[in-house]
Amino acid sequence: MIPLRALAVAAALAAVRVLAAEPAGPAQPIRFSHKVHATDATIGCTSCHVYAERSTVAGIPSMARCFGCHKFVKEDPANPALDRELKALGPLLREGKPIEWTRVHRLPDHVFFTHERHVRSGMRCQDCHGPVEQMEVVRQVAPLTMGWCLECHHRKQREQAGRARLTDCVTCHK
Amino acid sequence: MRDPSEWPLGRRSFFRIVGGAGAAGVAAGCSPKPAIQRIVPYLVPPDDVVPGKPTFYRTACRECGAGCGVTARTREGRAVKLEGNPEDPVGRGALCARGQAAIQALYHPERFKGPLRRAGGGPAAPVSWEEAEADLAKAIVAAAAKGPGRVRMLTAPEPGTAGAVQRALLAAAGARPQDRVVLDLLDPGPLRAAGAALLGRAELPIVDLTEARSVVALGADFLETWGSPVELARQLADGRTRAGERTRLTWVGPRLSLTGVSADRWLRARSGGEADVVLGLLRVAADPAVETGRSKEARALWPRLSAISTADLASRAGVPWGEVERLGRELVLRRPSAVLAPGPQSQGADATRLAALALVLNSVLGNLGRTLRYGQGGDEDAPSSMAEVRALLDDCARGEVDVLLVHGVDPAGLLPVALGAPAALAKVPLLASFARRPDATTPLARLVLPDHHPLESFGDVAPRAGVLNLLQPVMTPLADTRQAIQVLAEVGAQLPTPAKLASTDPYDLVMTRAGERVASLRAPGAGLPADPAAELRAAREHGGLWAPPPAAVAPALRIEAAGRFLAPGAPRAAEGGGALDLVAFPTALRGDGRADLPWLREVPDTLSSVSWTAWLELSPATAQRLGVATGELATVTTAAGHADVPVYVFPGIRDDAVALPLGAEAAALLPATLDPVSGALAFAGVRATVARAGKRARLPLLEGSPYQHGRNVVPVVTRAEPSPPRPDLSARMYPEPAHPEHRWAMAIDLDRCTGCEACVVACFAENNVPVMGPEAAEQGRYMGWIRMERYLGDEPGGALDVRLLPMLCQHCTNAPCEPVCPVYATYHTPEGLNAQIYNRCVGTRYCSNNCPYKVRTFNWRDAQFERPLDMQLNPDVTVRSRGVMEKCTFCVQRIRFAEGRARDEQRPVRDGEIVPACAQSCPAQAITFGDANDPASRVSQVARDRRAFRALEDLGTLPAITYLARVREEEPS
Amino acid sequence: MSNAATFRSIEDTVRAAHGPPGPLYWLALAVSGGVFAFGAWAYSLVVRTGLHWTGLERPGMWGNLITDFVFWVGIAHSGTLISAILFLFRARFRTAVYRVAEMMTVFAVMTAGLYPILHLGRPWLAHWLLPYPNQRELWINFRSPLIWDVFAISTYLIVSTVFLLVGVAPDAAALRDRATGWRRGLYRLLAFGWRGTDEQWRHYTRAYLFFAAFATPLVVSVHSVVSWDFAVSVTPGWHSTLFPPYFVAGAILSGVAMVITILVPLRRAFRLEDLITARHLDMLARLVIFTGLIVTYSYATELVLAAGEPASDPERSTFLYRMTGPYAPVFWTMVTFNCGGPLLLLVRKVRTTTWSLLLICLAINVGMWLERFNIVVTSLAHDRLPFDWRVYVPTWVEWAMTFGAFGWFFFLFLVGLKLLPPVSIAELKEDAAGHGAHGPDGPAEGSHA
Repeated sequence: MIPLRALAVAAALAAVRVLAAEPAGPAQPIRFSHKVHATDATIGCTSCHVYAERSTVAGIPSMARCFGCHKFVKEDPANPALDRELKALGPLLREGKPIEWTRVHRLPDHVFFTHERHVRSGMRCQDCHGPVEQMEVVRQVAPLTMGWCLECHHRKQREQAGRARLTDCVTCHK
Repeated sequence: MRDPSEWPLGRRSFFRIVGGAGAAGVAAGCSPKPAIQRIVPYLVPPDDVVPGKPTFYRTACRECGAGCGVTARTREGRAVKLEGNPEDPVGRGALCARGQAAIQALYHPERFKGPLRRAGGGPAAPVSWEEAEADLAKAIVAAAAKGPGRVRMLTAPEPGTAGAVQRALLAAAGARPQDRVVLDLLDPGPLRAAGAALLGRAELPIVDLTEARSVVALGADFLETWGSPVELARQLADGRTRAGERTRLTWVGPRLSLTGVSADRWLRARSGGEADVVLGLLRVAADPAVETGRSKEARALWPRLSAISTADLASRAGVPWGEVERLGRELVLRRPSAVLAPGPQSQGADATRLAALALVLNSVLGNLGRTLRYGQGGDEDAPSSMAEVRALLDDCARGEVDVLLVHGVDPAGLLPVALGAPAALAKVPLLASFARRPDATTPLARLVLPDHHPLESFGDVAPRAGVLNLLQPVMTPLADTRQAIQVLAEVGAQLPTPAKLASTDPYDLVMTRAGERVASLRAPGAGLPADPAAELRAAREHGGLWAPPPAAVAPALRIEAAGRFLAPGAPRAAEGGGALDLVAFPTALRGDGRADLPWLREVPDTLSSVSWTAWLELSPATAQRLGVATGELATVTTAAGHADVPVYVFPGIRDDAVALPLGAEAAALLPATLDPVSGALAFAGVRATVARAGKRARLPLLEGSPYQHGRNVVPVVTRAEPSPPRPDLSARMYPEPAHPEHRWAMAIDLDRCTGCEACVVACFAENNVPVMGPEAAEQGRYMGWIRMERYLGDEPGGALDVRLLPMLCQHCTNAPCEPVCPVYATYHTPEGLNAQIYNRCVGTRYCSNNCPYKVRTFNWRDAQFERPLDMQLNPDVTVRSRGVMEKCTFCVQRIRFAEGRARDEQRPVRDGEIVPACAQSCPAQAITFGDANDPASRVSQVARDRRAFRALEDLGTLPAITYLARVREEEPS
Repeated sequence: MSNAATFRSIEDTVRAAHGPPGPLYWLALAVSGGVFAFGAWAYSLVVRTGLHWTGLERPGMWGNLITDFVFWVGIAHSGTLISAILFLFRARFRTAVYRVAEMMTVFAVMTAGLYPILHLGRPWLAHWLLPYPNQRELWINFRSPLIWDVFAISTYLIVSTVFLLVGVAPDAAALRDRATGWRRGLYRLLAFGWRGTDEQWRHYTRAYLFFAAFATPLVVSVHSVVSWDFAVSVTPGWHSTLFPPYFVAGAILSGVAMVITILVPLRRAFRLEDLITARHLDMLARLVIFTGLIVTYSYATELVLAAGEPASDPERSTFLYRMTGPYAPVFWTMVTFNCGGPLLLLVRKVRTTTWSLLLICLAINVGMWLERFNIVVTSLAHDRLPFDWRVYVPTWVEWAMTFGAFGWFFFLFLVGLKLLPPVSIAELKEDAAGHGAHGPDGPAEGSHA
């Protein structure tokens, strides 16, 4: 079965090359840059995606959270492009309209993925989401296919004893 | 037929609204990938909601008078599952089938979206709350001006703030106390009347079976609807498995009810013969020959009793005297005992006599104050008698009522047609209904003021002294409804003499009142609480205020009053025409017949296995005589009217009786006869003729054969054979799969199980089990993961021997379903679960064919969850699409949740930490779940019981479910 | 025997059969095509909204469709038996009939192969039953009899098709040389460049022998595998070691019966009486008798074994249920047709009279379908837990799909008859030439004529 699995993985990788990970991420309603926030402003992932450590979903920051900072960060005369973006935020704040983000990472409905378990097991966000902190527009880097998940789960299983659940179907499909 | 991909998207859009944070990732179902998904974040995140994590609220159940505490699980701000409140002394964490289903009333598609006004016979049009309330206030003022009695109210029992508010409003409207009529069809009023006559206490005793060694139920189906079923089921079960002597239960009546199935003995008394049975028991209990050290009551009554001819009694009761005498002696020997009567099935025109005799017997046996406890405040807001209801209707019919407020009841639909409620109510100029969704009364209402669902409301319920369960909203209201007490308070405030109320805000009203009661709800002598506010806060968190009840009083029996009940009943008038005794009975699922929620209709009745419709029970002999068979339509005719009902031939009923469940059909057949003393409605004592209608009926029937055909699928144990037969499985050809870490297993004690089906409904709620409707049910397409297998005997025509077997996936160690699946959609997990991976299943259905237990259900079509019922779906469980097989998973989502938590806390999973929905809901605590690898776990201990057996064990499938056989005791020695 | 027939007359007869079809043919074609279309439409309902159109439900999750599957696999068997096994045994009478039998085999397998897919809950995922590497790292379950089926059926389809085409090659050549237009192109294709040289004849005979030898074990294996679908389960009435031989015998019985059912009208319609003679039919009839007796024996064995069990035993109960329950008519019809029919054939008169032979074979076809229905349905309907017992009645949709398959089968067959030579020209010529074995000149000459 081993060569077979190798074959399967090979096929998987091939499939990944072809299908997954389109070069650029989808367009978002505003020009939000993770690079500016995560790298330049050195804000940690979980300070905005607050649920990642304690729930299935990582959570999209609430508008309140955005304006926690942008109450003060209203403009950037040094950088006209950024300045325009920041000024555009003003109305949103006043009208209290939520930003309708376009989803980037999506799993099929029959997959029960939980951020909590992965983050707590010491994985870095980048392991699946890629170097988001360097992205101007977030894009999907990993294929998020079952084979791709299993690669990691199999490795973990080989490394640590008694982790049968890692490759048990009902762990992700209930 | 809606597009299969419609609802998951529907729910996802719902997530977008309240869930935010892309909770769609955990949404269930298989839907085509939409091109673009929007994720809409919160503006301000609610601090009590973590998307993807459940939030729990404590509240209380209002489906019946028992008022059990409830823990509501919510996800992303919507309630998804109701469970009992483990701290509540009534339910102790359990919740019955109707309680579980309450959530479907919350999400019922037909719920009113807002207040309606019907202008002069026209169609009901939406109206603003302010206008509606102003209208009502105006009408009340006008009516009140004409003098008392013009403003009335018909309400369900409201033992709490709601009742107080109603009374306050009526008082402000100048109404007399009797103008507020409280309707509870199943209220055992005669017991109250008998208490007044014999003990000087017009109250219902609190029944406590914990000490009872012997229980006799005469039509009082206390495991289904009578009294506080969840509590009594638990108490009986504890008595059943008590070390040493086992509580013995005897059922007396013309028909074997589900409570009767749990009984050790059934006295087939004829309908109306119950009172004579009690009289007979009394005669035996008071007999000096039976017991020398008699109570003074016994001594006092003996002269009267000894005069009664036992032969007469026996013939009128319809049971051999020997059986009565044996039961009487048993009651004398096994004390304390409890004699419970009347219930709807025994409540006839002389119901008070029956209740009184029962009280006398209890008193003679010294049960008062022990198993029947007085002075513990059973009924704040006691229901009115049917006589008062009829009086109200008569006044309405005479046009003497201008304003009628109807709250929580459906008089036009629920009451016997013979009472002529619809016609009478139509005469009321302004009928205001607080109904949440259309019923038979709302079309007659000028104003429809839809109430919140209890899960959207503040409130409190005091089922008895020492218990105050609090209700609080677990989610924001779905529609523009308004809580009735708020409406009443606001209307009250607009009256010339405003109602005496602290506030119009439900929260304030409830909390003020609760605050007043804090003191009374503390242990005697504990004095006033240091900080009442803190106590209230705690109460809201925990779901109620509880204190040990005041000591029960043992009221003395008024011998002289007792005397007049001792005369034997009038001999029944002999009539021809082959008339039969009509028995109208409530059921655990359908209650008094109003239950119209999908789960309660889809789940088959345990005894008849009929779902969705009413059925007519006839004994085989009678059915043969009338030439009707199961599934045929029969016409039942009584003095009151007639109805066509499908026949179900049932050996558990006397040849001279015919039975059907309460509901529209029963309402059409029951005459408006009342018990003259208590004014209670006479369900029993109705004579009916049955004729074949000559058509086949639509009868959704789950059962194939009700007989075991010598296979002894469900063994019982006796004193002689304390253990069921177990095959020798030592010789095995193949190694068994290893379970290195855990081996999840379950034990079900059939001696505790009452067949109430709370587990079944809980499973529907937890696992998104779809409701397929009556047409599918007729084809036996029942999707329930648990089904009650019910056997009536060994062979057709043999002795009646009812045995229950809750059948669910056995999670076999050697599961026949696993090897035959071509794609590994079903397989054995390292933890011993027999897993089913829906998204891998292609639907060959071989697994089901090869499953000896036939516990796998197939999705023949896409399930429909009509909005907003889809809001109840559990996001932790896939909603299966058509073409895939599904079955019990031991609630794997709960297992995984507990395992995850244990991992976080770096500790092994604790025994009892994982509780599947079925085990959680079981009132009798018959189901145990845990790790069979751990010899110390409760489930392992239970499985070692000598009553243990496994279903079809000789096949060598090695099920993970161990059943403990029901105990059949030989007759008392 | 057709010694009278010359090579040319043989070819003429065959080419006559390929002549422009008469109204009867068109009618037959239209009817079978129509029935098939209706069945296909009925199935489209199932695909669109699910299997709730069927009468299936726990405990019986299989019904008509699986019955049809087993039935058609059975039909497929006689073809290989007649062409391969009888060839190895040098049973000369086969020459006239084996082409029809082989065509029948191929079309029957094509029909049978449909059902496992049609009856799936999610037929659009049928490819998951094939072992192919995928990124999910998921594999098929080789322990499942259904997977064994996949291999058995596909193997059988491939082998029987190849075997048919190999046999056709020389005849196609013979027809090619005298055909015109598109037919010429078709036969050129089927002839695989056949010239009839000694070289080719040598290879041909070897290859033919090889395929005959290769196909023979399949006759036994394929239907044994199918029988395991039931035999390896724990369902009473299915779990029996008798099934493989029982199924194979049944398969051949139904197969040969179907061959006769088709041959009798065929030789009349296509004027093949002097090629497919009464003697051929007689031989086939004897085959029916033989296999019929085996089937009868199997029925008896099953009953005796069940009767030995205690009264409460599910196995015994199931057989009582078959004989006395709601499905009793099915059981008794099956016994009458499958056991009585062959016995009647023992009478020479009955056997040699065409109409009585045809009638009995039709009865056996019906009986064998009922046998499969009896096995599949009654066993499930009467499982271990009496509370679950339920009588399954097929819905009109299931019947439509059942008859649709017959439509599809006969449609293919009718088309096939017009394209492929219904009898083996080459081998008939051999017989005509009276050689024991293929000679260089004999058939070669013919193909050059």
